[in-house]
Amino acid sequence: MRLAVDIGGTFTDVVAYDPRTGAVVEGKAPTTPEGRAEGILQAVAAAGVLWPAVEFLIHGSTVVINALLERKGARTALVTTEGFRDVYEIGRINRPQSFFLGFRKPVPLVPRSWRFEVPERLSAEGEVIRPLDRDALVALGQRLQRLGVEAVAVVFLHAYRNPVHEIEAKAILQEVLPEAFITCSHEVSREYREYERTSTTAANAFVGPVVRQYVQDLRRRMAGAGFEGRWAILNSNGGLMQPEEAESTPIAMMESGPAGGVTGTQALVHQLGIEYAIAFDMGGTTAKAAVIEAGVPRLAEDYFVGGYVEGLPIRIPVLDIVEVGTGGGSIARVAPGGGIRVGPESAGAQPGPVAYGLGGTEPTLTDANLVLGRMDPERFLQGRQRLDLQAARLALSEQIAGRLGLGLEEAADGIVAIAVAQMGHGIRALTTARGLDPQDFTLVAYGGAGPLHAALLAQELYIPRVIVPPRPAVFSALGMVMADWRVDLVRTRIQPLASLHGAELIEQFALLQAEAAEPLRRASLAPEDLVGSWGADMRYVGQEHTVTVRLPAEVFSDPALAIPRVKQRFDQAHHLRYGYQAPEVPAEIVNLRVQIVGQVPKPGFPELAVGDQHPPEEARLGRREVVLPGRSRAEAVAVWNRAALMAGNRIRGPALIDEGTSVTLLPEGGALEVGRFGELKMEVQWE
Amino acid sequence: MSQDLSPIVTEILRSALVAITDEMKTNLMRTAHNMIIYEALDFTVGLFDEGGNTVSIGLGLPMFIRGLSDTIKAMLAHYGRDGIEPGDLLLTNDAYIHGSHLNHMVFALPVFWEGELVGFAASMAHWQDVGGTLSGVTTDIYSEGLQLPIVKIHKAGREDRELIAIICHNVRFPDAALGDLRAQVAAVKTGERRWHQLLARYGLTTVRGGIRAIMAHSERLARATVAAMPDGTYEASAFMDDDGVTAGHHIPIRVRVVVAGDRLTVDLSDMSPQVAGYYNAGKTAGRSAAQVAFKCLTTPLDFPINDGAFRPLEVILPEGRVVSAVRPAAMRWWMTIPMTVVDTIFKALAPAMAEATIAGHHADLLATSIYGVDPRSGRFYVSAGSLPGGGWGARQDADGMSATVCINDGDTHNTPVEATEVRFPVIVERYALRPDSGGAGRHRGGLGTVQIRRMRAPASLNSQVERTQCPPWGLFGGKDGLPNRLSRIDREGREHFFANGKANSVPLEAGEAYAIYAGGGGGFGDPQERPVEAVLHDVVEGYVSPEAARREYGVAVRPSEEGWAVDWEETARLRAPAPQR
Repeated sequence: MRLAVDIGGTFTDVVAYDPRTGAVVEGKAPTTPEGRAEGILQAVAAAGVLWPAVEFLIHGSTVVINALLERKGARTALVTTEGFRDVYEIGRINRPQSFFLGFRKPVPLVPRSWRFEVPERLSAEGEVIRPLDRDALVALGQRLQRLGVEAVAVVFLHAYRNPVHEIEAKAILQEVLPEAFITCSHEVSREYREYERTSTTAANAFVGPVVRQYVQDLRRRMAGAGFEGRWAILNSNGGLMQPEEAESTPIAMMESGPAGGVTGTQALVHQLGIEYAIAFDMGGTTAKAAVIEAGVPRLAEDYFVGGYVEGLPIRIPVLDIVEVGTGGGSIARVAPGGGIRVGPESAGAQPGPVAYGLGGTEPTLTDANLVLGRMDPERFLQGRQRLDLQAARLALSEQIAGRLGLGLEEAADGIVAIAVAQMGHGIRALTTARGLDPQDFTLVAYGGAGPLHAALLAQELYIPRVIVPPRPAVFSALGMVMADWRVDLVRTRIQPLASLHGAELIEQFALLQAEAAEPLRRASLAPEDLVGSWGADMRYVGQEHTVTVRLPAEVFSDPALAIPRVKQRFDQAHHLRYGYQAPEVPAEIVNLRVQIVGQVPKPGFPELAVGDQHPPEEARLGRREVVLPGRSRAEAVAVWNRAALMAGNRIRGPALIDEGTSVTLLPEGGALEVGRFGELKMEVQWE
Repeated sequence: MSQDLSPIVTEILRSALVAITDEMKTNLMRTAHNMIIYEALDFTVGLFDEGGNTVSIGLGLPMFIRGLSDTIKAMLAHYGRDGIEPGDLLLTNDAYIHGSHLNHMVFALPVFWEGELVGFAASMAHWQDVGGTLSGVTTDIYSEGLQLPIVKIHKAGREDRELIAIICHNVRFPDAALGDLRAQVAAVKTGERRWHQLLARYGLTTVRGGIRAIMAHSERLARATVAAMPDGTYEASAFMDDDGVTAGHHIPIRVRVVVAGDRLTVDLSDMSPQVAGYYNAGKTAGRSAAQVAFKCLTTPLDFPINDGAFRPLEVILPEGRVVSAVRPAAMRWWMTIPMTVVDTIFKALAPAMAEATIAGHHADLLATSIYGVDPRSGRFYVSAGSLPGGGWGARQDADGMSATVCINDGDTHNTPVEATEVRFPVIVERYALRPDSGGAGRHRGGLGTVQIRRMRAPASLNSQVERTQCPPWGLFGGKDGLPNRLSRIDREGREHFFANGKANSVPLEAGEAYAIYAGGGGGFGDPQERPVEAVLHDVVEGYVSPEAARREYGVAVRPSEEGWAVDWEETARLRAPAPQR
């Protein structure tokens, strides 16, 4: 049995897959904030899975992002090069909200009084300009001991190029502080730009003791429940890592949960032979999207905890998952001065939409969908949570429709349309910023609210094909079952291409690859199961921003031709992204990238029983009064029970496909076919 | 308000317009060739209606808020509406039209729909070099580089090769210039394409109705805020160090703001006449300064930025002032004085809206640059100065922010030390907050920074740092912050402060250094009212020295086992009301 556990903000989802029978079961339990292990045990019990039967467990968790957002971490000190302890507070000096006099800067996790400097210095070329003052470091260690620090981050300038002083400093500090969690910048990130690296290293230290405790607790509780198998944690890069790695580089767990959905999308589109897809994950609190290009999800160029405006940057290999909206909990309001706004304020899961009856008073997107009849108050979450339709109607009518002189249905439909338009802008930006066109992609929609908005979003983006995967509400957990082992290494090595020889570059990559393979070897993967791929972040000499260029093996087949081929690949990538290239202008490498995927035997998506074109009668749930998009009046619309549909079944819009935890809306003029793996393939139209 | 258009369609169009200018912005930023565009964000993109009025701006450079609109209006006046054809692409860097320096190239693409001119997609970007003298000092526009009047760089879809050759002949780095040019063209074409998509989906009438409704909404918001201010005439003044030519000769800044009902007038008639040195700005920049202040105080988070928001604002600005200079005034440091004008407007309006205003900030980019030959490559270089960031003023409910870019700029980033040292032959020895630089107050001003850069090879230093003599002011009893400062540090470690913040090709030997001290922000409210715990916290964190805590805040602290502790008895004595005389 292969088991995935995804701890979200509200629920802990469990998906178990039995490769022998192909059976999939799922379970859900409320997340238990204090001892998260408790929620896992409950969810596993709810799924009816017996612990001794679990051979391999994959875990994704919000423990790291929560610790950072709530700022509940270890007592952390920062040690920097003399003259630079304030880099962490100075940051990048930018004001994203240019006219807002109440702007706030990102607040460091380590206060100034806990940031210390030691004499040492390297040059940009990595040469020692000033040796490390060992005595000063020993004295500092003793001071940190007196202060009772639990974690220490060591960040020296140019350590990305040469970590010699960081390695030395860590050894000295660890000797004085044997219990402390000590982490150096070069262990977390080997990219230049000191503020981002400082922030990443400090965050790693801040959550280090928390995650260490968490992993140990999990290990103990699961063993106590009878678990004897192996386990892995989902890395933010979408691959698996050993629990021991999470203990030393906990920051890698940052996007551990959402990465599961992207991994699942990647696996699904691979099985379906689709190369370009947008993974769209919409839940109660957020809507997120990620691009899969040539079958592979991209890594983000930057990442900020809690968003760009006030968030601290984290520089690790994390899938490029971008928040494009605030989910079903998005609050609709009449703006000062008139007009209507949807989000970014969200009622989240608590108090949640008005219809939840948990104290929410402002109408949300979910309330609007309920009023439109697109969600069934009786079937929501398979009847586990009752929805109060009347309360939703009242809130929408009083707070929105009445004040704007709109009909109730018109206002509700408008709220959905606005939310969809906004999410559309976010998704479009993800593609066009890279010179891609959303129309070339298939939209894969999951999360509790994704299937309901997928077709509308496709119309907004002129995307003709939409897929709703099986079990959309627990798809992130399902995706974790499909994950491979994966290591990404990025190393800043600024060098003009013209100064390099092919053999030299190949050697640099080979060394990096050997380093990347190390953790996978420790995870007992056989060398023949490891697939390495190389790439580089490059730019024209004089530019600052880079383009990531994939460099497949054939580029290096003849070392003598390697450099011109790399240049050619870069010119092409630049052209794709920016619309022009300059073959005559010299280029330089900024970062080397190596990725190793450790492939392990794993399940594909199980196939569904095959039926014919006509859905079986028992799939029919009758008709429901639904206000369709752009209409102001309800009409009877066919509703289907997804659980009873068979592969090959076809349905014409308008229709709703209800599966209790989620509803798929198929608009008028749209057509749907149930695929081999139970996925709903929709084709949508627009004027 | 447009009654015929549903608020829902209006809202969908509103988010679409913001998204289009965001996409233009991303496009330009990622494709530009020079660091000033993609790191300092010295650009602005936007969509404009057929009359040149701002529909949506993507920043970029906040102080360029009027630059695109006024330039398009000048282009319309120049060619007449009938003189502009599909496939034309208009270009100028006329400093007296866009109000700023010659580095700012403005491209405007007329957008046609079914044969009718419906608007413009435009972009401004700062080119790294447009020729002109390498010396820091200029006294007329002709020494500042290539001037392009309003021209068509594309005529009916065809690029003017001769014009491009003229440009390439007049700049030092033609490859970079052409790279930036292409990036700007790509950005405006993106704007046109997406605008066409919007028109195809919603139709011209609806889109125009939506734009009218969006502008009307912004206008209502702004008017309501102005109406809430007490009517009256509000005045304030400040001064600049000098004009860059005649040291020690202050330049007066005087603003008068008149609030009457829901209208607000900014009168800049009493500003200094234009100066002989290079700190002049054109009238577009003077008007921009008033608009920036107005936007900050009325509708800071209302998007898109559009001309509806400025309908309640009138600006009185006669020609020939230092922020409405006429040919041949030197304009290279156009951005400096408008920043102090914005701050002075905030100061003037403090009595009218204490809750919205802000104390003075360091008000300068603090951009220094060096040039020379890099011994590592043997090549000549000119470094763009890293912007170190300075202190911002405190507000009624919050301390000022430390180490943040001045109001001329927005989402502008500093250059990482590690990037600077890869690129240029310098070692940055220190980049730190400047304790005690924030003005004392119930809310303390933000801290400035200090950055020390040591030369690895001989180089020449240019600096145009201002506001070294008029410190960022406090409000309502808050104290001033420390002003900006510049020094040279010789090889023996002796520090020599400059009389002002200016350096004109000052030679620095290998091993010599210079230091930029960024000012702090002004305080807000009486420092004696700052909670003792807050002062202690500032001392513990090293933002305020124990001496300043005692002197400015009347709080006595002494070393303790945990670091610092309050001497309550002494503090009570220090904070006791002064005995009656």
